[in-house]
Amino acid sequence: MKDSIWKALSDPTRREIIKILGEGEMSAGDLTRRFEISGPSMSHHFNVLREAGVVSARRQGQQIYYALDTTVVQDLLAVLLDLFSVQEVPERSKT
Amino acid sequence: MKTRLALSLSIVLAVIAAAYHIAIATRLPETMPARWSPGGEVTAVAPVWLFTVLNFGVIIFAMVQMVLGHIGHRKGWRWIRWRESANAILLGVVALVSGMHIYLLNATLTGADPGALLVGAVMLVIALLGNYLAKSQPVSEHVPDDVNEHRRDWINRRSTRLAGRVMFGAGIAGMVVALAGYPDGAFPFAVIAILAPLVYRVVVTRSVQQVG
Repeated sequence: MKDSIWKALSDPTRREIIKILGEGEMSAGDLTRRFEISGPSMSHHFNVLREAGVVSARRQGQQIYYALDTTVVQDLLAVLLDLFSVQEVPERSKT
Repeated sequence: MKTRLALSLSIVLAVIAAAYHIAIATRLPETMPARWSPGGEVTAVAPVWLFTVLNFGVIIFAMVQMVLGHIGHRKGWRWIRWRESANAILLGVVALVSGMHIYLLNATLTGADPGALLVGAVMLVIALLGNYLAKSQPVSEHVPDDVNEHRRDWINRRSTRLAGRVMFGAGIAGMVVALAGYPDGAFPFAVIAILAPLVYRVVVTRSVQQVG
C-alpha cells in the first residue's frame, strides 16, 4: 500500500474528516468549523488527504469544496484503523 | 495505479499465458470445452484458435485502453480523470483473462471441471470493479447551476458509492461461496451486485423528489 494512503488514514482527525465527507461534499470552511483546530492545521490535513488521492477538491469562488474519493478497501481500512485507534507516531518520538 | 506499472504487469501476465500455451500447444486437441453443466459435464466445445484469439484480443484491448488513457491524461481530456482507477480495473481484467487462459488450457488437458474457479475469478473481478467504482465518479469542476442539478449530483455520488460497496461485498461473498465448491451459489450475489444499487437509486430519487 502506498505510504501516502497509510499516512492519510493513520491520523484520527483525517479519519474524522473522511467520515464527515461520507455525508457529502463540503467546503473547507464548513469542515474547519467542525474541529477545534487552527486553519493552517486543517489545511495541512486537507493537503495530506488530497495528495493521497483520498479526497478530491474543486474551487468555487473563494471556497474550496472537498469530496470523498476513496476505494471501498480504503473505507474499510479507515474503519479498522478507527476501531483499533491507530494513530501516527509523532516525528519527535521516532528514533 | 500508474499506467507504466499496470502495462508492465499486463505484459508479464500475457507473456506467461502465451508461454504456457506454446509449451503445451502440441498436446492440445483441436477443440476445447467452452460450456459446462452444473454437474460439471461439457455441454459445448469451441476451436482452440477461437479461444486464443478472443482471450488475447481482450488482453490487447485492455492494454490499448491503458495507453489511450495515458495519452488522454497527458493531453488533459477531462473524461480521463479517473485514469488510475481504470488502470487497476483493466489490470484486473488482464489478470482474469490470462488466468482463465492458463486454467482452461490445463483443464482441457486434464479433463478437470473449471466451474468453481472460473466463477470465483469472475466474482473477484466484480469485487475489484466495486472497489474502484466509488473512486471512478467524475470529479466535476462544473458547479451545479440549480437545486435540481445539485440534487442529481448528490444522488449520483450516493448511488455510485453504494454500488461500489455492494459490488465489492457481493463479489467477495460470491467468490468465497464459489471457491467453497458451490459455483451456482454465487449467482444470487451477482444479481444483488447489479440490482441493489439500481433499486437504491430509484428509492433515493423518489424520496428526494417528494421532499422537493
